[in-house]
Amino acid sequence: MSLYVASTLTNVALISFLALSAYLVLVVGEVSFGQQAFFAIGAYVTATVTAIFGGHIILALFLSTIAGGLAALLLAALVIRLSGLYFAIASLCFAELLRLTLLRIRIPLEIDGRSTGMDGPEGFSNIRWIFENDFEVTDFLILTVVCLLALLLLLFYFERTTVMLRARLVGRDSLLAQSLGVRPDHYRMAFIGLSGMVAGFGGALFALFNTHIEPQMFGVMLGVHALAYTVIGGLGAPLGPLIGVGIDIGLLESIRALSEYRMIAFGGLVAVLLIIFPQGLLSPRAVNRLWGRIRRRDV
Amino acid sequence: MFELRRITKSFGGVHVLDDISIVLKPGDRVGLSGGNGTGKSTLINIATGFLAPSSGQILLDGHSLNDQPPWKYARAGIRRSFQTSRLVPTLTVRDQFRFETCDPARRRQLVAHSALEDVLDLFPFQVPLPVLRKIEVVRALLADPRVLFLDEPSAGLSGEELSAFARFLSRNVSGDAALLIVEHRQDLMRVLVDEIVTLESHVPSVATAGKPAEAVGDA
Ligand SMILES: Nc1ncnc2c1ncn2[C@@H]1O[C@H](COP(=O)(O)OP(=O)(O)OP(=O)(O)O)[C@@H](O)[C@H]1O
Ligand SMILES: [Mg+2]
Repeated sequence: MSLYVASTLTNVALISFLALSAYLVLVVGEVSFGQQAFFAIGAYVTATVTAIFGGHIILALFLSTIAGGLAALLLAALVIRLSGLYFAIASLCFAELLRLTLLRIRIPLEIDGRSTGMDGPEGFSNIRWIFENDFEVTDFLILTVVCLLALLLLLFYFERTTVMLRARLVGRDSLLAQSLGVRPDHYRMAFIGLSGMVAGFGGALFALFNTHIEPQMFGVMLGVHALAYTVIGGLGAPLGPLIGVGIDIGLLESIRALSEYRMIAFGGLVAVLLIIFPQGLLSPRAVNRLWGRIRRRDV
Repeated sequence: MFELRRITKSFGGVHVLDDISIVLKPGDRVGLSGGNGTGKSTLINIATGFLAPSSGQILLDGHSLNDQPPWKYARAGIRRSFQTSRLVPTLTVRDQFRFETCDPARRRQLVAHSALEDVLDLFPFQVPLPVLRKIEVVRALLADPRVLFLDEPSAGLSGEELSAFARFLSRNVSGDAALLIVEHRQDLMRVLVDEIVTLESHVPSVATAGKPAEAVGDA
């Protein structure tokens, strides 16, 4: 496998975490333009844990996941009363606030003669975990894909549970949910928190793979893309957002002739897909129909 | 025991409900009738936490439920159906019944009694309206409610279907549960309810009670 292919695939997998986190928020009926914030938090936490403290990767991933989740819970707790447009705006503000803060935090360090640590717009350099652990690009690809598959399996299992069914109900019709005894704000909080964890985990891997991160990487466009992936891929199954990522990064980015026009091509593609598949490629109804066919279970 | 005590409701100066009191004891079967726009649905919305009354109290076993969100009512066993059927369009009928973690045997029994087996794998848009209403009633019954409010569940049913539906209700609403049903059809009322509350469209509106098929008397 060429280096280029391996690193493109790794990017697909990394962004998939972000897309899945946007998916989890959409499931409970909220639109977040701010998932990149939790991705960034995960990235900076792992950068700090590994590059400054020499912490183990497991510890770094764990702390990033927790930090992403806590930040998302904080956001959810602050704006749980808001929903719809207001939540979308609040999430956007939150992410931009974080990015602007990261631009101002300058604690440059020198470790083993290399500059590292948070250095405002210069970013966080020399996150050398993959070099120190002799990870080739393909090794890291395998690590990322295995983690992603594990997450997908978890989500697939989760999909058919009552919890997920109720979460989707909250997202569709919160009043009906309440009439069935489902408490919407709990589901919203839980899923937004969960989305933060997923984004934080992905961000952690992103930092390790890139070895250098900077606030500009976590701008609004990243969040918009994450959202668009689920919108075109469909909200019916966790595979939806992955299809979206695959189309954008896997397909459009690898067509080099398109490189300059990728944003335009992606925008156009999103528009066309949504005209043909308003509910996304894997719409909830299509997925449920499939399920009905696969197993005609007992009531 | 569930009680609506001296409920009034006005929408921006328009009085819809004026001093309505209703007590529902276990086993009660009450019909709610009244012309269009007399506030039947409004009363159900208030009794299930979907609307706040302008004044008056909602009590369950003597505890006030005023200002509580609808999910608390539902968890306390106060369930409802909606006048315009409210199902998740992306779920098959089978899956509409999965929100409740109830005994599968009970679920099977309800589905069998309501003759819904044939539509289980269909989506709501593939199912005729009267059947959708029945699905909603079954969904509400899955929770084994203490107090059940049904808002015109029989709309669109033909005579034959109507008596089957009445049988289904009397068979499946638990003997300890109270049922309040909005209904226009006297024949259904006769077999199902012991008491009829009529809302009148006068302003102020008043509730009157009487025996089924009997002229409306004083409250
Ligand atoms: N949310 C609301 N805001 C303003 N007015 C309302 C609202 N809900 C109901 N009303 C008014 O209150 C009155 C009673 O409405 P309601 O739906 O309770 O009547 P109903 O007895 O259920 O009638 P129907 O037989 O048509 O179902 C109507 O005049 C209606 O226009
Ligand atoms: Mg009504």
